[in-house]
Amino acid sequence: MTDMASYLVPIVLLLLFPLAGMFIDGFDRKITAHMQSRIGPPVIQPFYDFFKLMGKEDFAVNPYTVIFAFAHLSFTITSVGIFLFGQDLIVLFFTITLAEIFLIMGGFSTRSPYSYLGSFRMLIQLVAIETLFLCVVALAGYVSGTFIISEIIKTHTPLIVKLPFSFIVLVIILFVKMEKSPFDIPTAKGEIISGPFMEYTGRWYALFKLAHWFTIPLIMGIMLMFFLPFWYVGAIVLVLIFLAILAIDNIATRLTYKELVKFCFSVGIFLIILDIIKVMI
Amino acid sequence: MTLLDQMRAKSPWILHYNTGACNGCDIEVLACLTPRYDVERFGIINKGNPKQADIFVVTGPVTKKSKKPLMNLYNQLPEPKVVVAVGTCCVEKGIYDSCYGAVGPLDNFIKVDVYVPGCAVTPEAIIDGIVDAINIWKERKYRGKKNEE
Repeated sequence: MTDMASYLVPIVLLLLFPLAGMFIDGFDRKITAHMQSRIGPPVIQPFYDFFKLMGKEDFAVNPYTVIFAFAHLSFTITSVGIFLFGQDLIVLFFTITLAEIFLIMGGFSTRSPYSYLGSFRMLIQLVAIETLFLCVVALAGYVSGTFIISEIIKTHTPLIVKLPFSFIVLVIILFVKMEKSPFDIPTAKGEIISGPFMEYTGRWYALFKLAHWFTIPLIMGIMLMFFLPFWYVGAIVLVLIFLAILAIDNIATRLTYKELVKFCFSVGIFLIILDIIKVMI
Repeated sequence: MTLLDQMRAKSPWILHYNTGACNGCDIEVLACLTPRYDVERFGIINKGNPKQADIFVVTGPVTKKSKKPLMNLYNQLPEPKVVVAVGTCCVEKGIYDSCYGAVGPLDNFIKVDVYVPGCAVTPEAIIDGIVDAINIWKERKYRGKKNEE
């Protein structure tokens, strides 16, 4: 019976993940609208958008864009699966990065200048963010003595007590993955319209939306993992962080990609070094 | 009408293109997105990308120079799509009538579904026109191949 549950619970959670991502997206738009004293779309607006995109004409500029879209989605789902089944944190890191790389290759496989520019920016963002993410993963593995997620969470002192500054780094990573101002560099609206997604139409664009709904709850899940076994504290902190991100999104202007790299390699690495010192002492 | 068509009507994304108007109508189109009118509550987004847009909102008399980009944008919009002509000069050339540079009005080149006259158009009229456009768009079906003109 316990064996059945150990498989069923992650599978059910895996099916709930895109739903959670959709509601995060919906609340994002609703709260942003309220912050700008608008009424805003209904919370299930992303759901309407998704099904509308599914019913549209789908022309692809070349077959590779479609292949990369599917690869991006499947590797994102794989990384969510690895997380929910409590597997290796390092492999999780690699699959997330690979999913991003497929997204970038999809952008590069077209000849649109917007798509190219967005992909270049995404590549630089990848270098800045994944370095920090790898440091956090390595530190989490070092203090727990293992990289297996199901072993890491079997602890009495939550990870956030051992690694407080790494959690702040994860907040930066969530910021960038949510594509919020000042870090919405690759898909900058009004500047390079939708960046790497420029050439995707209809259901191929919907695939990226779906992948995004898997990614955001995944990063939030990793953040929640830092609070286990006190998940309710983590949930409250996550909601507060979410609101803070939306507030900053509404008041901040966009950074350039150079500033992003500078920020990540100064502030981010500084926070990581603080954690290393804390672990060593 | 299926459930999917009902859902589709709640998510119209707009592509806005100025074919050489005086900018008056463009300001009014953008005014629809501001807190006073807030069309995002109907799911309307001003999408800059033709490949992901549904409703083509055109302003201005079509000038010689802007005719080619106009046709490019129109052809890049995926089916099903609707075209809304906003402003008197887009509907019937208006003040640009008998100008050598203007080759419009818009329906010389593409099939227009909704005409919204006015100089400049009020945001209420634009919202009214777009609601009409959504009702036309809801009936349109994409049948697996591009409609030939």
